[in-house]
Amino acid sequence: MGVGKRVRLSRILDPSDGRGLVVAADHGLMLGPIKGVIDLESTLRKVIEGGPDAILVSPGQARRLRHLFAGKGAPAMLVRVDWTNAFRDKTYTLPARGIEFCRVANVKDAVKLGASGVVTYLFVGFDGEDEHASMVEEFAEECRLWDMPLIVEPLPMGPKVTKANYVDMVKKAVRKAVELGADLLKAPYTGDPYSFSEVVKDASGVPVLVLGGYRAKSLRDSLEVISEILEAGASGIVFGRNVVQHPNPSEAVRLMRAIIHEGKTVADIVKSRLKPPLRLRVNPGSCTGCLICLSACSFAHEGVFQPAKARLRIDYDEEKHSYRPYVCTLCGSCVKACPTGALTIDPETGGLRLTAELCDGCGACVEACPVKVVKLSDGKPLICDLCGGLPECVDWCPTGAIYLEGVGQG
Amino acid sequence: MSLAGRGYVGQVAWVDLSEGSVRAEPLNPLHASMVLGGKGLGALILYNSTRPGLDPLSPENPLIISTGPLTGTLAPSSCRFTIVTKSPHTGLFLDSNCGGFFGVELKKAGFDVLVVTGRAEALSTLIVEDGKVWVEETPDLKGMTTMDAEKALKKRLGEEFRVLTIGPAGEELTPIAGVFTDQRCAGRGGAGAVMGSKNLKAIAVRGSKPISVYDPEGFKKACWRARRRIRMHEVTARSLPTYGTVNILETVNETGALPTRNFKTGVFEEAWKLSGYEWRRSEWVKDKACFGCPIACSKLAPVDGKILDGPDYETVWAFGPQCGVSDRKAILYANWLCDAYGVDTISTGVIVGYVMELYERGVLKADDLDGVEARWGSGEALTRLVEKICKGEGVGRELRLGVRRLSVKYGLAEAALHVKGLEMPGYEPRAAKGMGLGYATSDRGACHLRAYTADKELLGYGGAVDPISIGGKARLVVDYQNEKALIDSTGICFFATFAFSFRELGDMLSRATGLPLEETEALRLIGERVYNLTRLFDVREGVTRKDDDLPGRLLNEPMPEGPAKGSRVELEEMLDEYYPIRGWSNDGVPERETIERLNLDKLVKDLPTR
Amino acid sequence: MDPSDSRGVLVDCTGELRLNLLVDKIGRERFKDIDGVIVYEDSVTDFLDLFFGKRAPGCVLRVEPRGSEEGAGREWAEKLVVNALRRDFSALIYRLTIGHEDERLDSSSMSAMTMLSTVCNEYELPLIAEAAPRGERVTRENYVDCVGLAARMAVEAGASVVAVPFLGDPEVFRKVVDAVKTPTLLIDPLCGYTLLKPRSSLQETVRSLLEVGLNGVILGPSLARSRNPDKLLADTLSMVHGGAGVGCR
Repeated sequence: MGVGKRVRLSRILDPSDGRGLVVAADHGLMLGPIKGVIDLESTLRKVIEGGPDAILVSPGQARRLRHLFAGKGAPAMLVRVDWTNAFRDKTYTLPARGIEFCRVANVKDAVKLGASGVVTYLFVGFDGEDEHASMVEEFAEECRLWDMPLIVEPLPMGPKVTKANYVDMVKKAVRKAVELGADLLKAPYTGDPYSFSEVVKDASGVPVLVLGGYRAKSLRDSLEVISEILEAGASGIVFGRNVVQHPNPSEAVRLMRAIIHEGKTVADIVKSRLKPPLRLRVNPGSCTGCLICLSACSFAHEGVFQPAKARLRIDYDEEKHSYRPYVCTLCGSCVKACPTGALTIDPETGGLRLTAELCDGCGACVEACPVKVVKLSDGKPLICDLCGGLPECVDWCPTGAIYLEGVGQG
Repeated sequence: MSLAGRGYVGQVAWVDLSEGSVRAEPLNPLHASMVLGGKGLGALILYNSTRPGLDPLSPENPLIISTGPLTGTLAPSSCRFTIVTKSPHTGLFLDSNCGGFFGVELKKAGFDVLVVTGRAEALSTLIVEDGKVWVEETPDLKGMTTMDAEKALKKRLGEEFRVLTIGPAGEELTPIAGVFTDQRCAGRGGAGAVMGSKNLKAIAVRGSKPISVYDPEGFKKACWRARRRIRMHEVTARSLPTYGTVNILETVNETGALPTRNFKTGVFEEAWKLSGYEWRRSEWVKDKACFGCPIACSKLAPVDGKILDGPDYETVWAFGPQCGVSDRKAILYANWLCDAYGVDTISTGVIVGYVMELYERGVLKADDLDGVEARWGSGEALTRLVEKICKGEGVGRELRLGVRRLSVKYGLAEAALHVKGLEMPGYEPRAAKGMGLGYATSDRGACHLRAYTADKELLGYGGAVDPISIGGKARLVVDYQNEKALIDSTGICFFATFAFSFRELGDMLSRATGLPLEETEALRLIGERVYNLTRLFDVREGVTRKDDDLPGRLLNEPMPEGPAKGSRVELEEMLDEYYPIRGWSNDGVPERETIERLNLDKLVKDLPTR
Repeated sequence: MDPSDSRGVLVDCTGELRLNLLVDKIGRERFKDIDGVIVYEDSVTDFLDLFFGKRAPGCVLRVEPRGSEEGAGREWAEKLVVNALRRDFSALIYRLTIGHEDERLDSSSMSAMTMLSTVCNEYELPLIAEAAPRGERVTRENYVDCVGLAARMAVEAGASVVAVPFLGDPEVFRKVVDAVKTPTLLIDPLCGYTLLKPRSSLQETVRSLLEVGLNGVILGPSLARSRNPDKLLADTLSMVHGGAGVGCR
């Protein structure tokens, strides 16, 4: 690899750990003025506060915003050199009816802009595959001439992609990209670290960054993905909507940095947000009656799916056609009612604790519970112990109808 | 090696209503490993316990309620169960998939599958409670709406019971009657009539037993990852939760594929009044989920002081553009009537559209319709006709027989939109050729769900495909049909799978059951096997290429407007490509080689002689 | 004509209005006040003296859309840019048309524009992109979204200035302007392909849009059909520039 490529790549992947946190902000070219990129400069200023290694922009924006990339320590600039309509699904204006693509800039233009890399798509799974590959080949040649890193985004796209062959298609696209001369890859996550480690292997040493896709429902989802892909051998991320559409882009980048470059885990971050003493809260308006909390609770405590053994319950009010979760409020009534002292509040977790040897199965706790979430099973009460500090019901609730006080919903 | 405690609970209950006998059999692990559960297992039981030519309304026709290995677990949207039987509407294979909570409860009560045969002497209810199964005569439930019957049984037996009921239409053996639970339904194909023919008004279930899996920790992680995929996909994180299935309506109209006025055209000028945005803004008051589902695509709307779960896309279409109607209140009321009396909204809407065409073309007069002036776009005509169909009153008695039977009497066969007797759902085949091929080759008659190619043809997800060209459509339809058959055999909802691939599904299935299902090819093969199994059932009943057909309108009348203007469905060309890919003869019969490759000869008792 | 530091009034002489007609209507004196004139390549030769001197209007070369069969190669773009520069033209203008039923037409319009913008940027010649969605898929309901999409894509691809058709409410216009953050001109509302027409006079329309960020206007049919084109032009110029002086390249 030439000097130019090596130097430029080192601006994207931090030399100290070989990893990169790239934020994509080129959506305007493919999707139009979507949320988060409408006032691109303002969003990018916030993003830059978080400390990304590089930012991906379109040629027009690169020109206009080049002042953001100037100076020591500023993020590296990556330039998108191709356009496609393929991502305009029904969510966006004028949904695509077929897959179209074209070139948007030359590598020389990127060089003049001071870019550290150029990014192009490579789709496999449709009739125009070969044409698309030719375009990437042309870019690869220009990149060789200018010693500019070629970053390829290999994606399964089109009628030949099915649920059954998706992962194989990702691998196929990755291999093709490597063959065509990619210096860095921006690949889709296959869903789990094991299958993704196979994708990384197929990249034969070319570093793999993972793309973010649609905005996730919470930042934690993105952070978990980052954690898993690093475990699988990837070198970092190129996240777009999950950063620019986040209400606090600099915070999002900061937390992603913590995982990529500072060795933090998702558990570290989640725990650091907990504000003891822990207390469960409910927002009945958000409850959809899915009962996932009951499955999660029984599974965490009993290892099986058995809503009858959950330590909380969901009520359905027919008149108001609404659902209401009832959870342990740590009122202490059951503790007071317990004649043997078998029930206590655990000082560490703040949740209830049952000392089974002391319990005689009298059921006073069941009677005493004002929200009726204590039940007897095999002569012993089933009580909410806040799962030792990270309540499962809160984790699994899809709408934030059950949440932790002080931490907020969702 | 039993599969009990590995996703499955390991028991199948056989109830004979004539003898009043109940027997529980262990789930056959070989069968489960080859067709999983749900649709697959139901289809296998149906095939092996029936003979060709069986009268669907006879006591011998089994009503099979089949859950999947993932039903009732932490897998996302793990609510699904399938009702499998022989359809009284089409005379062919029927699988009708349903969500809600009933299937989960059946499993918690100790049974993976419930098979009901025979006929009770008086109108009865089958009760299942933690392993015990018995039948009670419940003549007082006669004539009750599905909601009232459900309420009455819950009051009598306990609020924790989950109930499956038929409405008066099912009691009256109406061929378009469905089966309902908590306003969710297994609507298509007349399963309600089968239940009615057994004098079975309802099945009530309560269970408190555990459902376990083979590798608990691994399974939980796999479910967590699948759940996360759902949170990171636009469709499952935002489109469906916010606007339900109606979220696609405006896009389908924009692509010229929204069948309007009985498929005369594919563009509805008032589609904007029926967009998901309008429904959410004006009618819906709550999001409602099925068991285990983070998507919550169901919406609740008040109707006349009652609460309705709906309408969904198909219902909005069937009572809206299909009839030229844009009045949301009329659509809500029609939806409520169908749910209450227990009939399929798609079939009902298509029937009304057909009747309106007959009226507009002068074949029928108001006098023939008990005074109803069945003009296009008339919300009043819609609700009056729907009411007649639901109640079987006046001309409704005849209309509820379906468009195929009506067209025998009234003609205009090209305007009777059905395939194999099952009315056609809301996607215009001339504007989405893959959907057209899917309708023609579906195992239960015209169905949009067997091969939902609309995701790529009309909605642009995962790489848009030209909807009007036929190139590559045969391959696409085969792939989609196989994959859907697999999904319908697992117990999770199709919508969850928009967000992930077979990788995640295989992960969950293999850790739940301990069966070697991590390889996506293993899953694909099961799907292909199930689809061929249901085809064999139909072939055994006499289905051949001639039945894989589309109505004349779609083959011969060019689309008058919109992006698909001038288009007609080149069905024969697509079929010529489809059959070889399937490994079927040019007449649509699975070849011996295909049957053996899929090991179907080891599973089914009598293969069709052809 | 580069209005990026102030504002500009352009006159389009490639449509209903032609250069000779324009000169007849408003006279040579008023002509000098215009900031920029949009022309086809060779039409200036007959009126060359109009463009002499430092205070003369700038010329903007209109590039005709390239058919998808012909291809929009580098050679084509470079020829146009070099010719424009040799004649001391101030900018190129290109109409980006999306919204066709046949998406390949959208794609070829896009690729022609991106090729032009690449070459323009190389030679430092500004490109004005007219965000003009037309075609069967564009309806009254999605018109504003389509314009927003086209305008934003043009800016991302490197256009220096965008021109948008009339969009109705000024607030809607403001949203589009905010999403492109680049000098924006209004295309003559009487232009054949605009889907929405203003209810008030041109003056009123321009005034209200200047308040939400408009940088100028491209006049064409309004001038051609006006009973008093000289007054129309003078009024527009004074409103747009508001005494700030004529900007020039």
